[in-house]
Formats: sequence, C-alpha cells, structure tokens
Amino acid sequence: MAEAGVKLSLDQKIQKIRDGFEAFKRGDLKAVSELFTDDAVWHGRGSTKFGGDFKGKDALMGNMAQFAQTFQDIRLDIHDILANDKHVVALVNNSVTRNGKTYADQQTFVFHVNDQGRTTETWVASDTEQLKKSLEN
Amino acid sequence: MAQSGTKLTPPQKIEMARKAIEAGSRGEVNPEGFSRDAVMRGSLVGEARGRDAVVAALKKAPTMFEEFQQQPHAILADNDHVVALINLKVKSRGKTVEAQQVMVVHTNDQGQVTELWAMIEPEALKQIQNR
Repeated sequence: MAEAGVKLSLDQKIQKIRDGFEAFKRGDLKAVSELFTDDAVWHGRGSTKFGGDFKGKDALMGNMAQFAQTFQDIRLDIHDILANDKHVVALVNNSVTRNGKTYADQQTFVFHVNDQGRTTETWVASDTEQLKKSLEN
Repeated sequence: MAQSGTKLTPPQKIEMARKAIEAGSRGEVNPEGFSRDAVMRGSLVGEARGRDAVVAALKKAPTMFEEFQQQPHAILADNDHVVALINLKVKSRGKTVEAQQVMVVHTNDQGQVTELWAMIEPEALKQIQNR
C-alpha cells in the first residue's frame, strides 16, 4: 500500500487490480477486501442475485463471497488491464462450473481506483443471461 | 491514418477511436480503418468477417433505429487494445432505451482494427430488441 498522500502511477493501479484478482483466485477474500474503500460500490448487472448495486465494503464482499460459494472451479484469466486517470479496465476470460456444467464468458470489469490504490466503484459487464441460466440449472 | 510503418501510440489510438465512434454514430465508417481480415462480434449485428462485412455491419447498426447515439464515457488504450466505455441510446417506435456498451478493439501497429468486440449487457439488449 502506498503511503498516505502518495499518488499511485497508472502501472501501480493496474498492479493493484491484478493483485486483487490473484487474491480472489487463491480464496484470500481478506486481501481482496483491503483493496476497496469502506464506502465502495459494486454495480452488478442483470436480474440475478448478483445484479444490482452493493453499497459499502461489507455488502460487496458479501456478494463476492456468495459468488465464490455458488460456483466451483472459478477461473479468471486476465487478458489485459488498461488504465487512465479515472478508470482501470480489466478484460477477463472467465469460466465457472455449477452442477457439473461449465459456463465460459468474456467479462469486462471497470474500476474507479483512488490515488491510494483503493477501489471506490466497480462495474461488471458480463453475459448476465448465461449467469441466469447457470443459476436456474 | 498513420503512415505505413508508423506505430501508433495509445493516445493516437484513443483519438482515432473517438473520431471513429462519433462518425459511426452517423453511419459513417472509413474502410481504411480496418485490416482486410478484420473480425467483428457485436451484440446488435452479430459476427462479421472481413473488412467489407465489418464495415457493412457497422453502417447497418444506426439504420436499425430511429435514433442511435453512442456517447463515449471513456476510451483507454495500451499497445494491444483500445477499450471504449460507451453510453448508448437508441430510439425505435417512439421508445428510447439506454444501455452501457463496452467496445474492445484489437489494432495493428498502423492503428487498423483487426478485431472488434462490441457488447451490450444482454438484459438491456433484450429491451432494445423487444422495443
């Protein structure tokens, strides 16, 4: 974590997001949690339980934990991460398994990351129709 | 368009993308902006292979609606990709639907699009298609 008052470079912000994905993949949700501000907001899309706005770190981490409990063999392969002053965008090849069936998707995560490298807001663009089907099966 | 052999920087790619999106909203597409073997996968127009097919698909999208506006919220680029976060507004049969569109573009060193992926969140897409 950067010292208070130190503004992270774009490469450092990208590394923070990469670290977050790696932490999630190894099941270290505590490390993931530390990358969000307390008042962070997660904007999920679609009409499943993972859609909608999750306001506050506790709410969004609860959503993330539920996702991890709902699916097996969650794969998040980072294709690329780009950044500018306001956004960090991760292009991710994702696959999950549920009830023996695997669902693959290309997802885009858009993060607002503050100068200290903590995420304040996240949007997820994904195939929400497929997500709905995976939960129905 | 950059000169042949000139490698575009990410800021140059961003500027090109911004102009292309603005023109695309009006149904204007420059074929020279695409490699001959360009591929496009789009929520609205499906898959298109080859420059002519991609250009035709991009020109078709605005004609599907009474109004078609793509307003870039942010455009990012690195050596491999250009990503545009777009606020999309379409109007048909008097009904307006707004959606967020993500456009991911692979470019070659000359800034030509080799692959374009334009995605609208499926449930918003349903609203557009069921308008």
